[in-house]
Amino acid sequence: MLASAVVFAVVALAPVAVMVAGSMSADGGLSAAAYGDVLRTQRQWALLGNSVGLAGLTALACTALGLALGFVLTRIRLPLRGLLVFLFAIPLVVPPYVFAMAWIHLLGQRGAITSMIAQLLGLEAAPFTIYGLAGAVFVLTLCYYPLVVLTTAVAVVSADVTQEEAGRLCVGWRRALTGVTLRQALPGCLAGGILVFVLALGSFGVPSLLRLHVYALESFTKFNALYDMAGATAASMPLVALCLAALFGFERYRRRLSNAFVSSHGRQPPWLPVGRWRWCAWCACIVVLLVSVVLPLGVLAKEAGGMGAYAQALKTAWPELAHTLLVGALSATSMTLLGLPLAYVASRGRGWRRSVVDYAPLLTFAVPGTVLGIGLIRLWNRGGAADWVYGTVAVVVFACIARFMAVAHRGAAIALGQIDPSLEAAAAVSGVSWLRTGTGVVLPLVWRPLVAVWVVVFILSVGELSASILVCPPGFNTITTRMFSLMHYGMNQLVAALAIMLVVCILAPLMLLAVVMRRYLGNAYA
Amino acid sequence: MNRCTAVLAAVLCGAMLLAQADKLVVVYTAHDEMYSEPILDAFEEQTGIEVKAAYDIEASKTTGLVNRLIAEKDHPRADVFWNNEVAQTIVLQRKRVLTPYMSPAAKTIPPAFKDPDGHWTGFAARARVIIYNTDLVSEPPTSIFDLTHERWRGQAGIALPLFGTTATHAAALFATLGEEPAKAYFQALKANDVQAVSGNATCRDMVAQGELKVGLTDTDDANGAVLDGRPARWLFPDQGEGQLGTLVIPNSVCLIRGAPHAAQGKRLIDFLLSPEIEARLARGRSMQMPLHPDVDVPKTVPKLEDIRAMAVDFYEVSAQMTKTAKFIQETFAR
Repeated sequence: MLASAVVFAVVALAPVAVMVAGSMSADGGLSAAAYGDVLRTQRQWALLGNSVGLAGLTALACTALGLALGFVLTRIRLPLRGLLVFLFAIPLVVPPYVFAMAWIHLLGQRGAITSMIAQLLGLEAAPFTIYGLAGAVFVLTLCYYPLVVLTTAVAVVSADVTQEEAGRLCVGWRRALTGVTLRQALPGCLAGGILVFVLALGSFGVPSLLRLHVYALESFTKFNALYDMAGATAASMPLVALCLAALFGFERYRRRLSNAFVSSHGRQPPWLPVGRWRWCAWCACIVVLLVSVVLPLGVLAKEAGGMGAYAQALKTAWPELAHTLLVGALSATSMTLLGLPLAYVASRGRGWRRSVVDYAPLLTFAVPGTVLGIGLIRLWNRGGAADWVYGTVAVVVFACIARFMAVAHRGAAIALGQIDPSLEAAAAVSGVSWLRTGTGVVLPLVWRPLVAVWVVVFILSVGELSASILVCPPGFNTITTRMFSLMHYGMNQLVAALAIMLVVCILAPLMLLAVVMRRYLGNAYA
Repeated sequence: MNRCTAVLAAVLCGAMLLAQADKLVVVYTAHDEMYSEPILDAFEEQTGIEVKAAYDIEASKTTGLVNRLIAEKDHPRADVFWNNEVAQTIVLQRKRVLTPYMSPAAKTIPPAFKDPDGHWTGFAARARVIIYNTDLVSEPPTSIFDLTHERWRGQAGIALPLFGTTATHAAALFATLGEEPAKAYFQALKANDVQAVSGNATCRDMVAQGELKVGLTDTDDANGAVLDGRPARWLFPDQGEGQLGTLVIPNSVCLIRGAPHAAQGKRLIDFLLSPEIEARLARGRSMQMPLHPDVDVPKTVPKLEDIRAMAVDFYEVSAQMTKTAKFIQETFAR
């Protein structure tokens, strides 16, 4: 575990520390000059308000939607449930910027849907469009809600079934569900919501496209327009502070809830006796899928046109596709292997060590990718032995680990937090070593959620751009770079074909997720 | 015998590595991958020198690579930087990231488009244009100042003038018009509800889709919409007698200080600055205008001598960029 902490510190924390140190020094001495501009004007506070509003509303919407879907997918016997689980993960695969472009085609001022509505109402223009805060919340919700669905589903099936059954002996199944199981699953659901909050808070591309100015623009401007690295780092600190505050609040709340423990009986939660209402639930799932997957992918497929676009996309971009999948696989594997020991310390440790390990991944998650990228260059571009990192795929993997370790860490922490500590205590009392306890007791109980964690961070790593664009070795380019480059030239057909191809290429890990989740969710009373 | 074999093997390996180094050049290019890649492939074929390229994307507005070069200054990895504009190349020059190289291929490029000491050389230019939707507009604006008129309230778009060529254009206006008139212009644009979108390509798409009626963008973006058969056309603004003219923005290429493969870098620069490459970029979708005289280009490609170009000093433009960015940030980013 110490080794994991050291590796994480070197890979992810050190570049951030380099940038923070740089922001607090000038002319060889300590200086807070870079921080002098932070939140000094009404305009900056207004931008921060936009960011908090966007992130808060997106997190709320994702939590509500994810909680409902998480329960429906795990506790109601739905037809084609495995396929539904698989399809719900697709929005995570498509870069949010591409999603936003698809929605402008549908709900822009002359979008397909808005034009139809205007025609029906006999108006010159539709009464609403995708632009503004509401549109940005809508698009980001559709991009990120699968995160909450996943964390909720894992939490629901990890809950102790016997407690709900005991509750049903005294009250009806509805009250037992909401009073017992929901309480147990809520920490998992809210953990997903916190991740969405952080992702939305740092979001810049989608709000910018939908004409909403957000605080992340301040850091981006310092970096891109003013070449002020210290200022860019300083400007990102309010967002980092907000993320840490959100996590702190969540942790205080979570500790007040009772912990659920994975049942050692290995029983799957029973289906809820909803009768014909399961068809309503199924229809609701289909509606959500139509809006979040079918409509935008349909727009992309229409833009892509015939097979010619796919053939050209594959011909021109297959090396980038291979690079992207390699980076995704290496990053996801590294994060899962590092995340589990860190999560163990966070869930079992005490005192300052626990707090440091708990908050550190979120710090690197909240720092903008551009700041992180420059930090990696400053740390590793030194020649000599550092060339084993800089100038190779390793530095790109480091960028992904720094960006998304918080997701792996949180996912592993949710799974570990629901294991009864008495199981490990019993092993310790019996004289079993900690390593044997880990491999023989803990790992068999958490390996399925860890597979889900692997798939989620794989998908996120595949889409990472802001840090990796700065450190990708020349000649080693990724598919997201190619897509954004093509978008510049309006090669929407190729962009759409590449996006669809990316979805197809990630199908394999998504199907793996669906199989694992389906077996994990179980077939109760088959 | 074993020791001899080991020494021989080490010498051979060293020789192979040196030979490999002679056959490699690393280029950072902000010019779109789709169009720069075939040109770099052609260089590889012609010279046998392997090219390793790092590309930038519209979303980072070129400055991703510029910031990377600044951060790598102490241990440079790149040999050549091929930029799709020039103001940020001058930023690199000021930060001592570049080293002079006077390419023989640049002899006939006009002095206004190259550094007198050889730190950078311009080639294959774009220009700022007004793009308009032909389904919605029959009489397009002919001046960038027309976008402040009531007729275009809420219907005109520009890329947020904090990044890319729009930022360069804004700084050029500050340098050419003076600070107060330039500020008045941008404040009038803001008051007329101009839509500041995320990039030139987005502005083009908004106009082509009819989300906006008119916009300011670059020739390469505008040409893409026309080639795709979308209902959009473009024109050079302010071309009348006594008018400002339009900003012409060349690509620029430069040699990195301390480049690991400087000799190969110089060969690449010579190749990029050749009239043949300018002809190739002119024929492509990006429709870049040659700076070499007498380059054979299709009739659809405008010639530099046929355009009223804004009279700018790129060094003055680059010097104005920080002040301009701070003003634009206060005016538009709220």
